[in-house]
Amino acid sequence: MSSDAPVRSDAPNAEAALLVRLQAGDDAAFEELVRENAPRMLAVARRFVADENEAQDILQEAFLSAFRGIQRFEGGSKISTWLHRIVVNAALMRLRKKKRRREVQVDELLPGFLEDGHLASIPKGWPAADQRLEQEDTRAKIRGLIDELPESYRSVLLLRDIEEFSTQDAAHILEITPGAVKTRLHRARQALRALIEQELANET
Amino acid sequence: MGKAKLTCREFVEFLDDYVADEQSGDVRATFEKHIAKCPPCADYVRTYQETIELGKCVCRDGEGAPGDVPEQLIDAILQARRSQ
Ligand SMILES: [Zn+2]
Repeated sequence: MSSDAPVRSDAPNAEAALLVRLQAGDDAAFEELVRENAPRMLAVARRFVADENEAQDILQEAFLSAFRGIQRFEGGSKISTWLHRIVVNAALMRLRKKKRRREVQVDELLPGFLEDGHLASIPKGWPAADQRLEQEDTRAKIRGLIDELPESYRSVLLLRDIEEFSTQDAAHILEITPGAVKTRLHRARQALRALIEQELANET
Repeated sequence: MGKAKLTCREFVEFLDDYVADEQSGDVRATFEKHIAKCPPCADYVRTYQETIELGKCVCRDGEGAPGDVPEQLIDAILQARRSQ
């Protein structure tokens, strides 16, 4: 939800005007804020939790925390960017309280190497332009595979590759070092690659 | 990593910098040389990149149509603000 908003020359002024009304406690301004941003924010929440009720709870928590924080918001970023981060934080907070799901072992999905640095076995991969990857049932399975990653890896993958936060911002949100973000992202992608490979191999 | 020859282990370890295009020109050239000579790594980098793209697409399938947020939820949120 970063750069797809239409660019209008009066957009910064409109934002500033909306912010003034929000900070003055104008009911109509809050309704505008919610109607404008809720669809994208709910889509974000749904990416973090599978359960629809839970996603809706996250949306509500996010807006309540935004309402509480509106007086301190200084307009240094776009309102939508600010809300994006708030809903991601609300989702992560919820995930931290949750029981562990069934998770794969990331280490077991990374390629092995021989002493001399060669690959111990050739990864099977899948054909270029594999038609199966366009099919809805395969895509639904891939969504399920992402959910099998351990939460600490899945969160990094979602923040970096899907929500498109920078390494620095993801590190800040997750309260880990940028180095840890980089390492976990690389391992998460490799693990997901191997899971997709297994999934496609099972189909044939 | 300034040396000309790269092992598959090193290739895979620093693959993320390669796909993000965050390497200096000579390091990148070393990676490209490895890809040209090593089919398994060439295949690995392709499927790694496809994995990133697939992750993006499948997570965004059917995303956020405006009518998607139930009206009661919007009301509940606005109601909760007034009683905050
Ligand atoms: Zn190789």
